Amino acid sequence: MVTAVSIENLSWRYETGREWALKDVTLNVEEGEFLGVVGPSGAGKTTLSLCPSTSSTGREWALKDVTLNVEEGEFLGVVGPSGAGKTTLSLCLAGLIPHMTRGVMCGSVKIYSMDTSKTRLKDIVRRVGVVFQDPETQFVTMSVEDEVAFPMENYAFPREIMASRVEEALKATRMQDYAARYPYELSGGQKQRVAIASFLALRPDILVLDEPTSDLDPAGKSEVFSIIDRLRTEYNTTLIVIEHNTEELAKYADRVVLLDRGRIVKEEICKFFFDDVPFLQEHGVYPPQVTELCYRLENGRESSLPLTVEQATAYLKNRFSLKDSPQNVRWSPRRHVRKEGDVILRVENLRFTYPDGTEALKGIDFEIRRGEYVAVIGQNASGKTTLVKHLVGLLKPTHGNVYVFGLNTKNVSITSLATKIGYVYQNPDHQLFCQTVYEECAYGLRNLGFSESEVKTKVRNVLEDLGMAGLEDTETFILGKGERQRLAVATVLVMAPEVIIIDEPTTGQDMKQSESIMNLLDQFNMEGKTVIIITHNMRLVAEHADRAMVMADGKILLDGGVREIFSNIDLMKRTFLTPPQITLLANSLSPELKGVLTVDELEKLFKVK
Amino acid sequence: MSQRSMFVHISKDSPLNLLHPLPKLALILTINTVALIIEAPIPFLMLIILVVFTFRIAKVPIIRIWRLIAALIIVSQAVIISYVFTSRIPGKIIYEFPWGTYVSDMTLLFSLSMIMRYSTMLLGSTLILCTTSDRDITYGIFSLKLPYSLAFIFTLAFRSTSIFIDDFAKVRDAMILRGTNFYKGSIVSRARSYARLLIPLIFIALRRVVEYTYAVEAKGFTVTGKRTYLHRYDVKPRDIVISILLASSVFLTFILKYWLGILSFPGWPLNMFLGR
Repeated sequence: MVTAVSIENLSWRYETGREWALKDVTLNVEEGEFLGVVGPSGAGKTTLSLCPSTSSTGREWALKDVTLNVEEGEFLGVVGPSGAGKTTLSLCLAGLIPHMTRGVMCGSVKIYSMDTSKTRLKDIVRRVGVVFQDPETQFVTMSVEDEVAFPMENYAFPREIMASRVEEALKATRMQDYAARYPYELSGGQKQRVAIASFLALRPDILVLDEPTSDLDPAGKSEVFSIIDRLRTEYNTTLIVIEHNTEELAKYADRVVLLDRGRIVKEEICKFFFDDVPFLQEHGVYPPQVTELCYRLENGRESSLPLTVEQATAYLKNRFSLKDSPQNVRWSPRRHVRKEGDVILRVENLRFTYPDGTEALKGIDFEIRRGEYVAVIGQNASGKTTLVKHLVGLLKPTHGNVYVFGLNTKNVSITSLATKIGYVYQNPDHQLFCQTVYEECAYGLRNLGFSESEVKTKVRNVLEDLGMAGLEDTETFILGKGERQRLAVATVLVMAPEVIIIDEPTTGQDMKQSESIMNLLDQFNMEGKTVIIITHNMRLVAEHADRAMVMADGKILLDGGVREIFSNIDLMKRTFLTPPQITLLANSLSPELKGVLTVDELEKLFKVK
Repeated sequence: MSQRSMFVHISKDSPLNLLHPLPKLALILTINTVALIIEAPIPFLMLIILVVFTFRIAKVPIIRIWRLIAALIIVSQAVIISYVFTSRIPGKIIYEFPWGTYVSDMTLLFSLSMIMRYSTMLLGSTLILCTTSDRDITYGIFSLKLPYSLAFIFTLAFRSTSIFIDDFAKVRDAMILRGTNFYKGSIVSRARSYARLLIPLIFIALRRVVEYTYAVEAKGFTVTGKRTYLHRYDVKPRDIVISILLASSVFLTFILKYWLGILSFPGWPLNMFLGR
């Protein structure tokens, strides 16, 4: 007989587990042997299983042969590119598929052995809470307090219990001062916290969060993760979090699954999940920057790579040393810097008050030169969008002046500014209103009086540049989100503006889509044009922009080079921003290194000990 | 930073804010019902002055009235056109159309009266919407002990309205930034621009409806079944008194028109001069 499997004194405990999953197991299995394994439920009770669950949208399977078990109290992360089926998975978990969505479903989803297809939706959602991506459409009542109480009211909780749980949930999400606010008085981040609070009060056994932080500033993202982690600690809630932000996910998740094209292509405990960096990147997932750095330095030879700044600091100090003393490190200038260009945008003592009395901008002064690449950053509701709306002429200053190419925006029409300065919205749905791709691109040109032959040439050129040639006759509303975002950029670029302003260019997009858009902007900037981005994604700012303006409470607190801005970690904290993970790591290794902006830069400084 | 919708409290210290939502709803109904009953221009003028005076008492900025001017001009045009071309109101005939209708001095006076009717309704509704939140309206409906699902439909409608207004502003701005001018060009080209504006709005609205449905269902809402409420919507004695007074004023208006004829067209005091 040949021993096929031999296990000796095997003990296994999940990294975040409290008890041993296996303890001192010794077992030999002979070749060809049929070994049965029986016993009671394990250390953790299985709360939820998908086996195999599939749902069809009509053309192709949104999920295909997904088999997944989640333990009670577990924190499961779900990552994957756009269109991978992550949201479909969340709808299956909450019972909204098959109860609310038409399609074909094979297999089953069980919540505490309750088959979702055979159970009333109301009974499922009592045990499974789901927080969706768009905070706007989740707010279904008229006040914060009502919203938190709404699920409990639906389950006829006694008033006294509701009152105490509402108070408790609002405190936990730091929204207690906003109890009487209306939905339109809250920022996106605040609305998302209210959505979480409403389930916090209901205390479901399982909470599913579908990209809960995509609209939030960096501090808001961390806050949401720490709140939901407290849920697990205090109420043993099982958490399933779908997220593009792997850096926060890696801090808290026990296990992560990677979905792509409706299938689970990788499933691993968090500690090992991010080890295969190229595999993740191939599937459109950004691994944490510190993991990527360690992977590169180790040439992919090691496993269990660091996931957090603290782990990476210890790891690097043990295994690597700097090639040179930190004091001697000199940063090469960013590739785009152009200080010699003409001043094309000038803002003088800009103040703006909305008709309802909200003072959104409180005295802003700056100049932007031709060819600069500027990032406007700041916490939610700091006034970023209001500021750029002044640059394109959509808003006129209450006090002060805005000059675009020497013209005071108070005295010129928006249309005349449109040929000089283009604005791309965060949500392409707000910007696409024609039937076909060609018509969409041609629309602005026709309004500007170009002849049909000129329109044809310009549209063809811009679509070729953006890799969209051949899609001219495609209807805009059947394009995927990534393509729609690119089309939105195309509709602006086709008008050949000197300046492009783009609001949150990569929100809700996977790594490949994000890089595609950022490459476009880089190319535009390399041609000597000016780019202004508004973003919460500090990694984008570090990798692409030359200059950043930090806004808070309607003012610019700091305006300077990106390196200088991210080096000012105290200011970043004060404005609820967080530098990229790689900058934090560099600062943790040595304060002299806090100017590091990218993984490439830090990688070059190290050598093996 | 989100723009606020028109359904917002203007002044937190407005006396109207002290009232329970129920009498506020009663006030909307009263103003509109009274306006529908009255036909006489002079009583209408007095009612408009009363409503504007209430604007002052309620601390609603008068600028709100100016914003209605555009809407009032459109309404006035529609009223005048419809009465001038299609009515036959006896009086001194000014012009007779080939299709049998005519314009008389009374046609013009009646048109004026109708313009004032719609102005009163518009002003009254604006007054209430400025001092009554959408929340008050839904709470008011709760107080009437109507089915919760009905009140909830109002809540969703108001939520959708404020989101729709935001979406509308964004799409319109995006079109303006690409050279659309909604105020220039022929009626056809302007209509075409507005039609284009509808395309993304419908698309976004459809998506939002689905998301709303998911959000509502995911929170355990069902049309039927037992539910409890976090808030009590207690009606105070003064709210009852005001509601009774408002109901009485509707009754009084009814009597003044149909029994005494004072509020019928041309009504007091014009009937004395015109001998009608």
